[in-house]
Amino acid sequence: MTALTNQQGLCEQGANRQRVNSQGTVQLNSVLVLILMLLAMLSLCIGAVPISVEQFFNALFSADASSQALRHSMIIEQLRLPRMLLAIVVGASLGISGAALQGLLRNPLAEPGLLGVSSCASLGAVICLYFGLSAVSIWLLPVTAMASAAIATLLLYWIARRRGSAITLILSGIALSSLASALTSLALNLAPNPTDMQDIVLWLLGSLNYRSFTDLQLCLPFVVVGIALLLSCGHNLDALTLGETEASSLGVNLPRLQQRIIIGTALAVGACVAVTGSIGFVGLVVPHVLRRMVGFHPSRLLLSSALGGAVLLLAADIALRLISTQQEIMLGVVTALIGAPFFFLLVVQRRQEML
Amino acid sequence: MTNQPLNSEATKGTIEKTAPLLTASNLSVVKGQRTLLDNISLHLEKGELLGLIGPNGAGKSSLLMALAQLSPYQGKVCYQEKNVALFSVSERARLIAYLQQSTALSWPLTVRDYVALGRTPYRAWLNRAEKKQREQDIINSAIEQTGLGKFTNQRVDQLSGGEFARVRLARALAVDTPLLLVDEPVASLDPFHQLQVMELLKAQCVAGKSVMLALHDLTLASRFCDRLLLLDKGCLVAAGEPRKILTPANLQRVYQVKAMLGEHQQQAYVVPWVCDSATPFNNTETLRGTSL
Repeated sequence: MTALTNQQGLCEQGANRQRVNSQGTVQLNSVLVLILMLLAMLSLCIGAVPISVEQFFNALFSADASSQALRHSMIIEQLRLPRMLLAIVVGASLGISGAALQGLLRNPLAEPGLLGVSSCASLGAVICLYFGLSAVSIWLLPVTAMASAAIATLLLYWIARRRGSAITLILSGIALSSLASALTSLALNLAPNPTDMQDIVLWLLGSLNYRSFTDLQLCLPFVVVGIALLLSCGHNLDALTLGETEASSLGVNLPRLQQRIIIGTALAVGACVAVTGSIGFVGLVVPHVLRRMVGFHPSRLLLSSALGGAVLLLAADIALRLISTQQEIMLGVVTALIGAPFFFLLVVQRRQEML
Repeated sequence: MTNQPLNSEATKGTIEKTAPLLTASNLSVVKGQRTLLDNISLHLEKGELLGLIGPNGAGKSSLLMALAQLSPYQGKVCYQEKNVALFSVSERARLIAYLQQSTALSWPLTVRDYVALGRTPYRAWLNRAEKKQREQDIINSAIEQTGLGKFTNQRVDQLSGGEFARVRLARALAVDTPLLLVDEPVASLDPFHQLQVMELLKAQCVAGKSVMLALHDLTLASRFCDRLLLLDKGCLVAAGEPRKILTPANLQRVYQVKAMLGEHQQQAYVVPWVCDSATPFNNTETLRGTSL
């Protein structure tokens, strides 16, 4: 009898712990939102023209019509605000896409940048821009980028299903990514009005420089739909932890789940890449850092990764503005500098499982 | 204790009049050029523990997968005389639980979180408080039944193979379906836990659920199963009470082994003794009290 009550006690403890666990996720998300808000403020103040907090409030909220205040408000509203918002949108897209792909492929190394989804989207965008297709309709730009992202994701998924090993998937991703990057450079060289190196680098590494509200408008609708699609997959991704067969036995409609994640990823990543070029490693680093904090639940990881991705990209964007050089550093360079060593560490840690 | 066999006998008597819980007729599974299952018909009564035995590659797993609607098949599977193929996936998931032979672990959830995944078919957008409590009770009871109480908050990747096997069984029990299809649940367990799992499955049947399981341990099959299906090369070779199935001739024919057959406390046991693939079976010893 005592043994039984003991067991019940343990189970109740378990129930409490689970409550704490999901509460923990809520806490984590609140902390991330808080950091994000702070960084957003910071992002509006930091740059080539430093603006103090006092000047910031003066420029935006007071009736001060001095030339300095006007100049500041213009800088904030025209340059820094769209840039800040875009960093949040792109970071969130990349973070959540990474988490969703990792959940679907059940592999912590899956990431839109690493697997070539971003570079394919980039290729689509370049073809559209430099061969004049975007003159037909400005919306063709995100649409072609999204379509190429979808093709890349489908291809990868097909490979992952046929030969399930992690190493095959990563190698195919690298091949796809190199191919898309090479084709992007080629397309830029062959373009009717050839462009300089700067443009090629832009599409391969990604940047938020000189982005306006038009850019934000162009990607935001697709990103919102994409993120909503991915968020709706949460519990099915949880069940997929049990493997495809047992997940289907629990009523998970596998083909529909795959479709949703492929379309969601393509929408979110494709639309962002069409505007900023491909920015790597965000979708790899963020879910990996947060996974332990959400108790390894793929569903809880989705929202947290979106917030975490936004935080990381905004922080990276602020960091590169703090390091003032003659020419601004590419955002993709900063994320690669953080992400590549991290990826290396991850591969070394998982070596035994992978081979 | 003495009442129990009487009870189960009595319930059996009433059940035979009603339609079986699950029937499969002319079930065939073809994969590429290979015929995995050839024209199999079977039925499963309510409260029955049905054992599926046969050598490796006989089609046990294919049969369970087909019955669970997880692989394409020809033929018809009916649940209470309704065609299962016409059920919606979520409807089916609440009637038939399925446990695979083995799974690769993707993420190291805690034992409780892993078992809770069994409640996926009942997930709703908004859960009322009392429903939440009920869900917790079902999960707790699955954990307790499998003797995992002290592991509740441990991560599944830190468990031993046998412990993980029980966690997976608890996950299948948590689905709380009238029908449970289990593929070799005792394969990686020590004798104590083999018996514990078999007793647990038997208890499920006594409580009115039906269980169909594939297994290799013939003694456990003989002791615990109400009926056995003997499969070989995708064909159903024999079906019936364990004593009628586990005969020297059948074992030689299907498994190509000579087995030691005996009885302990009125229950039959089978111990495979020597391989016998070359010479045709010509041994005259038979299981006491049974004839071919």
